[in-house]
Amino acid sequence: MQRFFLITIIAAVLLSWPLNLRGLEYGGLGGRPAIPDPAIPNSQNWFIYALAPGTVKEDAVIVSNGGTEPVDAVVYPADATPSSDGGFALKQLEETMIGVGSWARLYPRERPTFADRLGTSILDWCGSPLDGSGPQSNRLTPAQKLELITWCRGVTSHELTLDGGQEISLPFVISTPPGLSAGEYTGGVVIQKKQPAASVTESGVQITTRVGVRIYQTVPGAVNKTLRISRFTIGPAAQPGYFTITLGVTNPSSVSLDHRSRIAIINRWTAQQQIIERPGQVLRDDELVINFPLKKPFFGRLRLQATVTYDVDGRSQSITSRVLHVTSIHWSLWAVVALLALGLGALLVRQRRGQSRRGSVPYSVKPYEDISALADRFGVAWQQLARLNRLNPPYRLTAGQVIGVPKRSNPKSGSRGHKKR
Amino acid sequence: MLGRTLLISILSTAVAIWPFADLAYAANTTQLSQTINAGTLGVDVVDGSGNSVGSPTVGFGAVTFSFDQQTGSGTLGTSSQKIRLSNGRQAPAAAWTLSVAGSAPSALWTSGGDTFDFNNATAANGVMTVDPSTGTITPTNSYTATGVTLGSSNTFLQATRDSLTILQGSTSASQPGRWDLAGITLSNTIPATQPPGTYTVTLVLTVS
Repeated sequence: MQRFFLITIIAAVLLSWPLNLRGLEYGGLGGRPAIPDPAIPNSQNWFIYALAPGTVKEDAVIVSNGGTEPVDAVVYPADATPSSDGGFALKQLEETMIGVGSWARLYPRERPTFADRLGTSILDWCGSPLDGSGPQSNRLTPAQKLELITWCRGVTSHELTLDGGQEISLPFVISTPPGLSAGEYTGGVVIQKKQPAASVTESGVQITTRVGVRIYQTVPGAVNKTLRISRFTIGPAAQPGYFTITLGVTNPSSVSLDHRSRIAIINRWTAQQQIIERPGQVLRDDELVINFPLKKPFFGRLRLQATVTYDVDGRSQSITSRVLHVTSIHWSLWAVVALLALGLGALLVRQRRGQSRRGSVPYSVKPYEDISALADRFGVAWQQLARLNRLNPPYRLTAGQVIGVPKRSNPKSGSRGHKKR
Repeated sequence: MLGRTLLISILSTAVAIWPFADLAYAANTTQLSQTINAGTLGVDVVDGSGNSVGSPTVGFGAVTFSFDQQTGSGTLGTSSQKIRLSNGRQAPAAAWTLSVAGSAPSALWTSGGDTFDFNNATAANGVMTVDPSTGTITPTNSYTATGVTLGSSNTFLQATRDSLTILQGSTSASQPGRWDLAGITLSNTIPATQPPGTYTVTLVLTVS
């Protein structure tokens, strides 16, 4: 009987295997442009526009829940903001939008029932600007017109619940302000998960997630594309054993620019070479500061230079930084050097002492001779004799004691000078 | 006995597959069609089985009241709360950035009425460091980590560095591709004499 159950269970598991594969598909909130233009590269991933100042564009974002459980979300347009290391990020819901995020309005609500008489699109119903003054709006009653004006304002954010596997198309209109100068303006449509607050048992960070579908709006006209290296430094890192290389790249041009930063490092003592490379993007009128960690070599003198490469209308442009030099010696190597220096010093002292002794000749002290008499006899200062023979006060000598006297000293028969007792 | 067991097993198996076998018997010329919508970019926090975590958190542990500035730390991305980045978009490949930011630049660590900062210019008032370089990238399925780069260690600074990059994908990264990320170190300086309490702050992970 046990065998029967075992076989049955195995068979059932094997047969249901393909069904479980459904759970492996991508899950989570996502978004993408609803109406990509095949003629515009990347328009299936990002909203890419080339709108003149003072014009409007109607579009829609697909908001999807690839998971199996319902998800609450909030959708809103946001300005772009730079992220460290050349990343692209978007402002938070609570922040004030002043750029692309303020130009877009969402239209999640069902349009007024009478709107279909006016046309088929938001622009038909609302006109441009979006004030309810569409071409056919004169056909409406005052009450209808008031309702339409309210609807045409759209909303700046929209909360929704998506069932598992559900996706919806959310219309929006982007209006470029009049007077915009030529160049690129960036932002995105954000789909943010709304989740219940975690029960707090200890101090910590609560995490929420969101997805942004980028908007690149370029006002046609002459644009300049140029990058500059604004800073290039090396210094100690917070992490022991590492340097931090800081590279700043400014983008004074009117479009965001993708680039590749490359730092060439040569250790001039060991001839070792290292290359650090990183792609990134600098938004217009922005400075990107990238911190690269660099493990300190055991010893060496490093030569560093950064090169930033970017593309200008199909031509590759490169800019290079000044050259940095930094010397790095591991503390253990310093310790070894210090020990060696100490040893060498001791050796030198010893050698000098040896040399001092080698520059003397032995002399056997006669009875009644003291150090003053000997100094006088050999024509040297008694202090020199004491130092040479490491004599300590009271500098007593005994008959028969062998001491060293300087080689070049000339013995005299008499004696002068004061006597040491 | 063996024959009877085998017979019962076959019958049981038939019963087990019955709900899924009807399509196969519908008609000899049935054409099955399946629409697969274009995928999207997405980020989620998932458990060890890949299920979305309802309310992900990063514990910072407890520190004792101090008259000196101290530091609390935690790990973003653990085996039970992995950061899962999915790029189901279609070719051509497009770059993406996974970044982290406070729920607002003006956000604070809060415990009742007590607060301290996470993005102050002065460390003594509270500043958070995010170090993605301690993290590990694990590609799922058969994808690789080529073209996917961890960000560098950085601190938040209000109005200057409101968003910090954790992970970047270049156009050479797998597309579609999916990666799990764990082991990112978060640390926050805690002002001297900060009153005891259970402090929380909300961080937002964004992929765009």
